[in-house]
Amino acid sequence: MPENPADVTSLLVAYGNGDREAFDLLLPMIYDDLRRVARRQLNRVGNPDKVLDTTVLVHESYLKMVDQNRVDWQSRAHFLGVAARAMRQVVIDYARRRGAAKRGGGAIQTTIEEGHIAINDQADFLLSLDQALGRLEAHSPRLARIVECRFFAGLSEEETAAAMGVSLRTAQRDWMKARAWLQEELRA
Amino acid sequence: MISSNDLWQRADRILDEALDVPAGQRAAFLDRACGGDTQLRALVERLLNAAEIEDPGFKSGGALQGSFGENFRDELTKGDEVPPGTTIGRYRVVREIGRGGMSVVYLAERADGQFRQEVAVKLLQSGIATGHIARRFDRERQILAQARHPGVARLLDGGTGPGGRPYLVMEYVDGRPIERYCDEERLSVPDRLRLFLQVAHAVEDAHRNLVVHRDIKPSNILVTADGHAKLLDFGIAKLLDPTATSGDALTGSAIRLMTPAWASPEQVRGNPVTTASDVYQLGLLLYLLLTGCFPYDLGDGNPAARMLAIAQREPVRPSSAVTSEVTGQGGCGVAPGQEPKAAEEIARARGTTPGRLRRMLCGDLDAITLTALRKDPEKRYGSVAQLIDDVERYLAGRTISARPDTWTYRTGKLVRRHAAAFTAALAAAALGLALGLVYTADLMEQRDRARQQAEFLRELFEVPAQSAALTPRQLLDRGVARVEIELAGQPELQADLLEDLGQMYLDLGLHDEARSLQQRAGALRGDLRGE
Repeated sequence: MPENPADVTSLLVAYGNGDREAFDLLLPMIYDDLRRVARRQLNRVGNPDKVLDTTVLVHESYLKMVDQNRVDWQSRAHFLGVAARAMRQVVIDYARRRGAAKRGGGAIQTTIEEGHIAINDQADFLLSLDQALGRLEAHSPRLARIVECRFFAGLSEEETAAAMGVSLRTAQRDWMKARAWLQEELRA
Repeated sequence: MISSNDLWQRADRILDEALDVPAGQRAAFLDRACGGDTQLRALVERLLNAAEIEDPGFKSGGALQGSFGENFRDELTKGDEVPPGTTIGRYRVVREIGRGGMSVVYLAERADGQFRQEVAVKLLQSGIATGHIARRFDRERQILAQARHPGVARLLDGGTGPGGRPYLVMEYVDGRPIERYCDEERLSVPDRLRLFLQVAHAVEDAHRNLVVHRDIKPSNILVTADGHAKLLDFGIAKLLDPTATSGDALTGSAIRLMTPAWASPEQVRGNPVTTASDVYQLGLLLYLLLTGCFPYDLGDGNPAARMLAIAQREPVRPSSAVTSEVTGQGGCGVAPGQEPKAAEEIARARGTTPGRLRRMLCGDLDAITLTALRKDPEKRYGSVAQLIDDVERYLAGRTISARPDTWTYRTGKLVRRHAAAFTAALAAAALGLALGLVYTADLMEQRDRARQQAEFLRELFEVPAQSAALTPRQLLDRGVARVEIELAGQPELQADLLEDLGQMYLDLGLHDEARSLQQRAGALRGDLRGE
């Protein structure tokens, strides 16, 4: 039962028309697909260094899931926005699993293998960042979206501007502000 | 941590402006903008500093950098894929055979080597509706195990597998989705109906065991190479539905686990799901198998528009759907996940032409399909058994329950049932004569006689169910006998009818009988003229 591309396209169009429910329905579909596409990218023969190019990732997923004949140029931007949120979830879910491993049976491993400390530190950092992002979102959803696009999905400034529907300059300014605010939130 | 939204908004506004102020003039700007509010000023200064610093751990794509990113990528590489040879419960994975939004399906075999058994293992994606499944599974398993019908892929086992992900083990079916099977094998309309009946019988059997499928759709029905249809995922929709209670209640949110286009009107409205929903979904399946398209246009993809269409839009008659040049035109819709098809192509896949296909669907099959698809569950067939009954009646050439009980319908039906012997001319004679005379006779007497004639013909062709096996010849013989006896006092009517019946004998190739009836009619008319 492959995911029906027509449905993703339809939902994307609906989301573009302001349907919030469509976003909620799209998110898990894109979440799953990003994981699949990422896996394929990483397992590709021509990628021995295991480089994960999130930009390519998001675009591949877009081309695969969305019927290009049925959408206008803005749909790509909407897709990028949902995909960025999905990437945040993918990463945070992994950080959570790392955290669970550390608290559970993985504890001995952590002290022995030095590399793991850094990983778990970063996992902790990401989890608190995710919480800070939740608080930032309450004040300014737009700044939170910027962080998803730039930090989690690794989209370029231009792509972020397109996904957000703002000018390049606004995207740059928002990214700067979002980082400042997050550091303020993380300070406590 | 900034808890006050007011402080946040003020600080953010000043930050915005300050970023445009050259560094040398910022102190003066902040003096002015913050007034005497030292808390606000301290906050903005911290923000300005943070904004200027390029924190290496916090840059574009930073979430996936460093050793965390490496490990993340490693895990992704392994992913949630289960390599061949992995054991899940008592089964060893052979290969992946399917993938959906919520699960991956693997072909697997018994790992304990007790006996060779191929199964399909459906492993749910992590993070989706997992917590309650194991508990519910135990409860449902017994019920599902009772549904031992050859048309249902049985649920064999289940548990919690790798990474705490729940899995279900089902009978493995080596087949093609029903719609693809029908098209690839170029199944005729009657053959499609027979295949449909297999599915309907399986659903009906499950209903007797109090299991509602809830998610009947072509991708859930596989047909094996020897032509046996098997329903997959029976009762699974309920198992996976986090909002379902032990009863059949289903809330609006649960529709997310359904295939949206295949949801029934009551599912869309968030009303309870009963066996009537399965009747509706069987109706959709029947529609799709007959016409190759969807009964209504689901709109441009807006979920609200789609739900409205399902809840309110009246289906296009199947016979009209197949005459649209291309599917999706003329009110009907393109089936989910399919390309629009030309009418020629649809007819060809059914071994016929668009015109013939339309005539075949017009009438009974229109009525059966539309009855199953009624918006109001109460107005559909009361059970799958009734739907089955009508399809079987149609295939046997008998009258169906979904149509109004008119004599023209029943007479036409009777004539068609003996189509092998009755020629088209005969049908035309019986119907055309009766109708034509009723409506065109201009004289009072003629009209009365015509009425009697029509009435007599009607009775003649109306036989009790138990004598349905009469051949056309027997039917006609019986008619002649009745004309002779019952119309003895009405020679004119007698003569007319004997002539008509004579024509029918002629159509059957029974020339002697025809000639003798013509002679008898002639004699009656001679008597009338006083010869």
